[in-house]
Amino acid sequence: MKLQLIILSTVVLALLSCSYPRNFTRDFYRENESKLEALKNDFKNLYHQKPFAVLFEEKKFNHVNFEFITDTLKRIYHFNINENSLKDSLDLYQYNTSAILKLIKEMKEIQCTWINNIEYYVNLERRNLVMMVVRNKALNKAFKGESYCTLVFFERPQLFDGRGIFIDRADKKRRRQLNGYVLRKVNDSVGYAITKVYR
Amino acid sequence: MILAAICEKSAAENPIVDTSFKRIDSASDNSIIETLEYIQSIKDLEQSEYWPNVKPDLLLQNLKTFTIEPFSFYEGKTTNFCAYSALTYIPLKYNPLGFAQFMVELYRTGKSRMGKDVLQPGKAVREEAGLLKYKGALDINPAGQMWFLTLADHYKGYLNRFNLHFDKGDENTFWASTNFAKFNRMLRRLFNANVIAHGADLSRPHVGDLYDYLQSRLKRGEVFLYVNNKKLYRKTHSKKIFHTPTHYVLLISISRLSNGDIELAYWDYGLKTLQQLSPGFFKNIVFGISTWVPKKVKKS
Repeated sequence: MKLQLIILSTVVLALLSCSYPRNFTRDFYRENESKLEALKNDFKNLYHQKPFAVLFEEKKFNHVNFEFITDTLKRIYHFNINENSLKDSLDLYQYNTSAILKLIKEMKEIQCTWINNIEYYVNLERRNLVMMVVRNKALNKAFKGESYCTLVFFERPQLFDGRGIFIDRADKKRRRQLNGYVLRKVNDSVGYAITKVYR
Repeated sequence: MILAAICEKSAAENPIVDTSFKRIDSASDNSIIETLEYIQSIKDLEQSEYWPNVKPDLLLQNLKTFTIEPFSFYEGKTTNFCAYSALTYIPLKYNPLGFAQFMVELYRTGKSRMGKDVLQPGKAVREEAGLLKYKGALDINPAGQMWFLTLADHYKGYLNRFNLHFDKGDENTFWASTNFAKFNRMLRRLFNANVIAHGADLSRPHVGDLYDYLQSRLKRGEVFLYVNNKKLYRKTHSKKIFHTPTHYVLLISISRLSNGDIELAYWDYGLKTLQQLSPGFFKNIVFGISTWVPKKVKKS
């Protein structure tokens, strides 16, 4: 009997360590909505001025991989955010340095590992969305490893089915995907997926 | 630099397709003008029975874009088409007319010859071209979808044995993946040239100083690198014990900075990318190097 209890407890513990809180994203979004929306809007405005993407390379959130993007060339440089080289490079490539440094600080505060503009197409027409990936302790499990919460901010409300899964506007039987993941609803224009990679 | 070569007998066997290889370094080059004139001259391209989901006008528009902006050729998000995309630089840069003719022939008849092989994709693949979605700019590029799916259907390596037959969604699976030997085989068979390859799927190339070697290779021809993509583009914070290559890029230039780091310019995902990497990191991510050297034209 004692042995059975031990085995049962082990199995339950193992299962618990594989799953993440069911409503993690909705709770996380609700608690941080104003910060996330502000971050998205700031990024969108800055991206519109001059395209870029930011990625935090490690768990301590001190090193970034900054992508300076033009129509034909993407420069990927690696920086310690506590050193001056990031500021100098932003100045050199004529970015809005103070606003971008503020954005990076806000990303660190909310543990956003990656922010980028993503192009997608509907009926041959190009559209954009902002993709933001968040790291959170609740998503890191001993057996399953790390997972990330990917949030996507569409520019307009989307269609979704009765289970809250985003569907294709042109083909309503088809589920919309981002980087191979099915998107679920946070609200009409924000979707999420729990992903194993952050880009 | 103008390099030239003539592809073997296929021209005689299939007079419709131009198979010469001559590098184009300027947008005003005659080859580009000829290609655009050729595409412009096609007025009667009807909806293909072989490619039901590829519209003829969009196909021709895509072919024009390939000709004018070869570097915008894009393999799509999350697909395993990076190898096919990387090697497409060769026909687009050396023989855009031959490539356009090949694609039109493939569209009209469901098969066409390139280099040493006649490519004739199966029905499942032909019906899927034009329907791939959520892949970024590849969504509006049915010609690219046709080309990638045709190559993936025709050339098989040991990785493809895990999934030999195409089903919907297989563009993201082992069905489309390319091991190093298959990549080199495709280079040799599709584009008549000498291919010098170093490296393997699970071991790094033994070429002495990697930087010096790549510098010397770039002077000889087009250089492709088989790299660990998870390191080149960080995707997770967790550390992996085993590292394997999963991505092909075209090397454009390489230089050594004053601090000893290596500045690497390469082409993938429809853009030129420039990264500065430490020599150790760079050595760690490169598993294969293929140099494509066009054969010189024999003077008569």
